[in-house]
Amino acid sequence: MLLGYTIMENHTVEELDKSRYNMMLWFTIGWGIWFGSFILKSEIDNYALKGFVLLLNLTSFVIWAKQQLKLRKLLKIMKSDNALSNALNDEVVAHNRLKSFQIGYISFGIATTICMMISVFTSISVLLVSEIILFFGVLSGMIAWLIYNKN
Amino acid sequence: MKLKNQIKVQRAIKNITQETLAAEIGVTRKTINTIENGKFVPSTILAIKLANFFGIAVEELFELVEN
Repeated sequence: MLLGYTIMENHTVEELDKSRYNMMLWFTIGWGIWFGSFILKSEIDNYALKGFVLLLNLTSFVIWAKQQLKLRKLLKIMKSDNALSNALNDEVVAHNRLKSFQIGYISFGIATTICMMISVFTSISVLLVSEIILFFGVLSGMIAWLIYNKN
Repeated sequence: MKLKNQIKVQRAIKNITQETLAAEIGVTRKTINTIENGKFVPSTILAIKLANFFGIAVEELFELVEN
């Protein structure tokens, strides 16, 4: 008795799983550079360097936006096929997702503590603190997901 | 305590790949691989599904051993 899906669909599951991993990899790269350069942009005074950072910011944003479109396509495929969706979101994937969220949450805490410690010695803007916390929290969660889901 | 399993042995008896088993159970090949290598402890539902597929009892497929 077949409990899951057919072998032909399994190729699709494997392909979609690999494609999801690559998508997350580019998501992480795109988001990391985009948000990192976004933070740097406001802190740099040098005109030439600011131009370079802006270019980096735009390029990485395009990468990030492209992955968003791919994600929408993947979600559409998953929505149309229940068995495929269940296989792609099986318990190992759910477990790894939970662990990645935990890493992200811990990073949020660490980044907050570091910013608070810095604020004892020097004044630091609330906006910059929020950006740094968001940057490290989200990025570490994404990197953790990539490590846990590596084949 | 460690959870030892006989998935690799049972697969060999049935002569099926991890990919085929994954398709039968409805999970990814990666999941079968992590369970088989003892990196992940499956849920009761997944353990029963695997045991049912091989036609053996869960205790035969999974065994608790001292480290």
